[in-house]
Amino acid sequence: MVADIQKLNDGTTERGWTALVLAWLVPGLGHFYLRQFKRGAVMGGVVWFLFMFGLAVGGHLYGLFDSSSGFLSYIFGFFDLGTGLLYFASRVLGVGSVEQAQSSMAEYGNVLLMLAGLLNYLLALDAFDLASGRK
Amino acid sequence: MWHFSLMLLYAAAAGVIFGVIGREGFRAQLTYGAKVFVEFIAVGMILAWLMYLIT
Repeated sequence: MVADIQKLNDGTTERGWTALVLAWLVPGLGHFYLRQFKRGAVMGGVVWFLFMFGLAVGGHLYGLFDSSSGFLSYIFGFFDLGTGLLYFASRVLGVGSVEQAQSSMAEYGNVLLMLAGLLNYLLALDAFDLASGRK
Repeated sequence: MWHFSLMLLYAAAAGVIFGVIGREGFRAQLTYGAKVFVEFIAVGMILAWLMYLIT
C-alpha cells in the first residue's frame, strides 16, 4: 500500500489525471494519449456508437439541472454527462435536447445515451489506471 | 423484436467494455467479455419474467 501511495505521488499522477480528463472529454482519446491505440479505438468506438445510435433512435440528453422526470433527472443528467464533449456539443447544437415522446424508440435511446456516459466513465478510470501503472 | 435486439446491443456493449477493462490478453478478454454478455442477457430475461409474473 505504501508503494501504491508513493507511485501516486510521483509524476505518473499528472499523466494519469491528464489521461482521465482526455478520456472523459472524448471517448477513446485518453487511451490514444497513452498510446493504447487498439484499446482506445475499440472502447471509444463502442461509446461513440452507443451515443450516435441513441440520438438516432430519438433519445434525448438530460441536463444536470433538469427536473422533467423528478429527482431521477439529475441522476440521468450525471450519467449523460459521462460522454464529455459529445454531451456538450449536442446540447449546444440542440441535438437530442427535446424529448421525442412520439417516438416508440425514444426511451431506448435515452437508455443508450446514459449507457454511453456510464461506460465512458469506466474508460476514463481505466485510462487513469493505465497511466498510473496499476495495469 | 426491437426490445430484444436492443437488449443484445446493450449486453454486447457492456461485454466489450468489461472484457477489455477486466482482463489482459486477447483470449482472456474475449472469454470474459462473452461471459459478461451472456450474464447481461440472462439477467435481463430473468427480470423480464419476474416483471411479467408480478404484474
